[in-house]
Amino acid sequence: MARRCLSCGGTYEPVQADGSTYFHACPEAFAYVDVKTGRELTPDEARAVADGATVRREARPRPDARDENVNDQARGVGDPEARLRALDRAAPPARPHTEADMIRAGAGAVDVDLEAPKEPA
Amino acid sequence: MADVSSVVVKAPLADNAGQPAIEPGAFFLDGNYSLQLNSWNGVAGVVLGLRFRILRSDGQLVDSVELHTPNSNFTQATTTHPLPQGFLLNAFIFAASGNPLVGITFAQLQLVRGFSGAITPISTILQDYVSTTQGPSWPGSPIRSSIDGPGALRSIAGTTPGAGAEIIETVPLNVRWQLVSVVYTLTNSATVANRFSRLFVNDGANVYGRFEQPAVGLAASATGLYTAGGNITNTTWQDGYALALPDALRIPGGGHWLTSTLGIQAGDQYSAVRYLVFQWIDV
Repeated sequence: MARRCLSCGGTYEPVQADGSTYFHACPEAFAYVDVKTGRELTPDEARAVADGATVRREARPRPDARDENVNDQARGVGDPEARLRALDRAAPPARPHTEADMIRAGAGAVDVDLEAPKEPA
Repeated sequence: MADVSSVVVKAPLADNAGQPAIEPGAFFLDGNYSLQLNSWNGVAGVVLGLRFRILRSDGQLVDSVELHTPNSNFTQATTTHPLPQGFLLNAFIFAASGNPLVGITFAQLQLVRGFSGAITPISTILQDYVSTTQGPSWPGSPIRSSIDGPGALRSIAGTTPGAGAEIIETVPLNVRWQLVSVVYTLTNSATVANRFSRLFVNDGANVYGRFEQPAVGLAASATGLYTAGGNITNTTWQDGYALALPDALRIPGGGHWLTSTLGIQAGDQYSAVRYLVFQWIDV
């Protein structure tokens, strides 16, 4: 089952065909600005622009960006006791990759039913 | 210990001719040692098995099987398995369930002193990738570095970004990629401007590779098929572009390959992102 990121709208397969796990991260966000007036365009206005020379793209931080890669806490970085805990037989031997282990959960992600992506001809 | 069976050995330390019945390399254990199994894995549903034999000091030969569930996000999982007094004769790591893969599931078996709290590693006994058909065994198997060998060939389906957004793919923690080839499609909106799709690689913060398409841009309303790889030159095809990559372009864990598109418009859409990498666990 594919997933759709609610932060950036990207879609991805969290489990690849070979069974391996895939970690999504949102790309940088952009704003589109009218070159003449300096006004920031809404997404619909930006998509309706007829001449690309009249708009300027500006990078913007994505405030709710999602990055499913492993965070420092899950890695044990900056936690001198983590190594000892990992060596303790009482420590849980394994756990699933949850949002608590992610760098940023962002706005979350939902399951979506997608058609198989078309391969380039 | 789970699943223990035993047989009585009449002459545990010497055969009928008085020669040693155990290999010279067998570890003598005084009851304060454990086997510690560490794993790094990126496949969901994998359980590893650890089978070992011990000739106990009371003369019994003990076969044991312990189970170990790796994490599926390439972080380290560790279990320790206390050992009785006697001689450790052999050990074997195998796939108990799931489909571990070379390049994705790496295991390390160490003899340690202690079994909780402060543990002192004594020796690395086994260290290699594990798959459904390949399992390292001691004695016999070499101790391999996780970055030895050609790596595992993996075909990865990337994220299809939202409209107007770039592609960005991240190398997972504790993993190293060598980018072999990349394909993606860019479908332009009707907004008039030429688009120039460029492929960058970075180490997570600093760009160290920038690969650009030829000077002919992709026009409004056009669809371009892009292929990037080694042993090709920058070329404009009838329906797309070839981007030359250096051979052996490696990206460390936390690094990215991404697009950075000159002239991209809000309605442009990247899709059909797929790439081939050689992958190693890098720990």
